[in-house]
Amino acid sequence: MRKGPMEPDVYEEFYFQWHITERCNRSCKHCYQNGHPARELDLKSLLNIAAKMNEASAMWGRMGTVSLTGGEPYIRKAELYELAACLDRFDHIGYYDILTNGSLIDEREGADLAGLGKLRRVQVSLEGAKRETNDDVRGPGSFDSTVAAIRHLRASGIEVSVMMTLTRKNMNEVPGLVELLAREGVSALALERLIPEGNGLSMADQVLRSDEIKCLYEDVYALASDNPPVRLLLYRPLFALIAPDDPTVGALCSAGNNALTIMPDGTVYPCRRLPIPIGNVLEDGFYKIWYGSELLWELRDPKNLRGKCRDCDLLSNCRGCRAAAYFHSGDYMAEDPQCWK
Amino acid sequence: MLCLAEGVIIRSLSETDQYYAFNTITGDHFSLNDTAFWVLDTLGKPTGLAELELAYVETFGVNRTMGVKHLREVIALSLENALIKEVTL
Repeated sequence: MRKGPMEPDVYEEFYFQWHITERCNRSCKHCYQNGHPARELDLKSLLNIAAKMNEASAMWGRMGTVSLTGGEPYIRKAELYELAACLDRFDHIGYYDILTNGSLIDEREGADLAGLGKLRRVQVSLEGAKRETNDDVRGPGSFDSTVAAIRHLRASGIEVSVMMTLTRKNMNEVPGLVELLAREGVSALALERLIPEGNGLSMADQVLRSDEIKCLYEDVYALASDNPPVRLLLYRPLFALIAPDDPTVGALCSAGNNALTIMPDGTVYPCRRLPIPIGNVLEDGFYKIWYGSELLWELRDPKNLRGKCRDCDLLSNCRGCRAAAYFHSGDYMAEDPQCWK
Repeated sequence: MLCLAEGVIIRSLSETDQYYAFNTITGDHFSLNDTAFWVLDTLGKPTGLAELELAYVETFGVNRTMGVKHLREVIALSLENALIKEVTL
């Protein structure tokens, strides 16, 4: 019997994606939310959850990392800053990011953010290099508003990353977006696949086919290999198929392995894109959820995978996206519907 | 009688052929060898020490003296780490 981390040296981080509100001042067509209001916790409860994150990170011997998001987290600006200050004080929280649509960030906000000790970066979203492509999904004026936010943040020395959700309409705009982001001083671009859930159900016809994803990922990998000024984040399932021997490419889905999502009322999901409740952090605590959830145990064991994912030779660095499988077939252990292998 | 302490769960991970005990209240977690896993698994329901010793020797086909010695070491460690507790039925 040996006391110690379950998988020492395998995962150094434990990631908490924390949605402190579902409220948002935008109504993006592809959003995983469905627009229904959710119960929100008061500041005392939020601080309690932050303390549990710190304690769990210490217990598991991992560096806790947090994304503070929503909804639009700036709608709860006072609580957002209280939480950030609280996370700054915790020894076992390495850093946190703020994921925002940027619409409520002005010049002063950039300066305030610069005073936060463990803020790694602020992530905003753009859906393409062109204003019309972005605004078609995120609403009129959102492109200009987001670019303005990037400028305010960069002017204050805040590191900025951008997320783009890949659809049939914007799949050809990645190189143009990289050029734009380079001009704006953005450090990283994350590319996410569209999962047709919540509002995003209305965009189900925009989900890329496996052959389209393959072509796009090959182009993105070529672009990334050219050392662009904006780092392309390639640690996502399926990227491993492009360059199986490149350690910077591909990653296991973090659901069940090194991440949890906390919703505004404390409900916990394996991943925000896999919205199956596995407990409530205030009622159950992280330990009971992490150790006791049958769903998490199912996700952890690749022998539970079905379809072509089950016998894939890339199981060590790709097990597909479980959320994509879930929303395609209703079975989160089914094969990744966008895999081209 | 001995049984698993409140909030303790044990797991066998088929992917890695490893065994673990988790305390869902304190967050403590332990890796187990196969005999420790067997002991804790058996103590999922309250079991008397004599009955446990007998079953242990029979299951692992070991010399009784050595088997009982090893079993008691596992029990002592498990009690020390609050994985099991003594109960009176």
